[in-house]
Amino acid sequence: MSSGATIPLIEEHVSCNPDSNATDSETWKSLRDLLSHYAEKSQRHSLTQQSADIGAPHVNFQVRFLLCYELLCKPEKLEQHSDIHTTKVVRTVVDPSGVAESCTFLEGYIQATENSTTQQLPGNDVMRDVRRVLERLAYLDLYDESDDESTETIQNLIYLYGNFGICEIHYLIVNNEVAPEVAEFVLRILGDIDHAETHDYRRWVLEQVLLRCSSPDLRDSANIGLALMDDPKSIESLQSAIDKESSPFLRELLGKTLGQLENTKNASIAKEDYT
Amino acid sequence: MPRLLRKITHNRWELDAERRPKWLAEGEIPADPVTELKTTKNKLSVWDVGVDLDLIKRIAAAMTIQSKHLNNTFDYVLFDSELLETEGIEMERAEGATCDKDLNKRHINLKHLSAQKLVRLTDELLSKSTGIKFDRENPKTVGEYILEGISEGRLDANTIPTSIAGKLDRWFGSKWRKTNAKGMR
Repeated sequence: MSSGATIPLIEEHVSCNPDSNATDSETWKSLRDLLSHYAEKSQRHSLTQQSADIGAPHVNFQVRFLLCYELLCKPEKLEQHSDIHTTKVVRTVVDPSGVAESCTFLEGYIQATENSTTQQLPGNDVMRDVRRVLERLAYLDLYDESDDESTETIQNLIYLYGNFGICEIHYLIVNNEVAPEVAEFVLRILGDIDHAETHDYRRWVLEQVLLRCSSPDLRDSANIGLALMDDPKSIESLQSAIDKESSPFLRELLGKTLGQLENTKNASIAKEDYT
Repeated sequence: MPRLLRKITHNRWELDAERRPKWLAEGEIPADPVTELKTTKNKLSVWDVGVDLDLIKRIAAAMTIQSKHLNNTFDYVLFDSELLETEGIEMERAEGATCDKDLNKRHINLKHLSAQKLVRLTDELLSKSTGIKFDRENPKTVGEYILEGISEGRLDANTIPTSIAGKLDRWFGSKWRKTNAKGMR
């Protein structure tokens, strides 16, 4: 079977099983097996080419996520295919410099799924719900700091869908599919939310936006998100962002966040030494 | 000559090459920064920080407590009151309404503001000429100022909203709990 048939086959697999619940672990696993099968046959290059098309909203979330997973978990393959940088999928989550961290969280998810007989993976619900919520926020005045309801809505979305929800949020933001003011607002919440399960992925998303987004407003919002998160693990990314930041004022603001995280790190070291 | 502070949101005031809207005609200013200078009864609320830049910390802490949220930065612009004379804008002392009673005496209203004066003031601030400084305090830094305020007895721990207390607990842990317990006495 040619690699060109891979994606349609997976899509067909999903669409043919709507009643059997396309989000259950079994379907998830069979999809992954299918994908692995083609990947093992050295057809990854074609696979990544095709992945350019699967970022479209009509495509099942699982398919998109699976491809990301496959790409992420084989970082060495990425280097061979520079063309993948142009794909929507790649812009969503795949990035060579962030591969190692991303693998960690994705692998964790896959393992959790395999070890669980009850966990249901979200399917297209996550795409529909995240998009709907972000679209609704565009009608509100998000500069109003007392907008607790909007904050709570985003938080609930993350509590409900976890990393899957964040994956979709990231996708919508980097592809400019949400209003800029909504994106800015959501990035701040990604840093503000107190949710250990999604901490690492939220941090990674904020760092990616900071390092790669062309919009200075989004870069600044990611900076604020990282300041709220206060995780010294972001020091290296902040330093890189400062080095490449074109806006002198934003560079200054990034420096403030960097200083804060270094203080947090030093305080943490001092505390460890004391105890 | 008083140095004045107005709380703003930075990304509405940045007009560098990357952010200046393409549709904006030469010599014009965008509407967003004007709306940041929201007036009530044609008065604009500002703070007199004089030469004591430590007052900025107190203003940031007091205004944040008043807003009941510590989920965003405290962005502000500082400018010399001389700028107001140039624009023909009058000032009047008016007690502030924050939980920092001493600080409230440093509150000022810019009064008798017409729309034209407000636009000219915005234009001046956007010019970022000498004496105008835009700056920011990160949320955690403001949290430190709140802790300082409680320790020094200027702020009452009982007035700290739950949402802010939660953040202080997350960021400062035992330091916050000790300060809070002391402040509650």
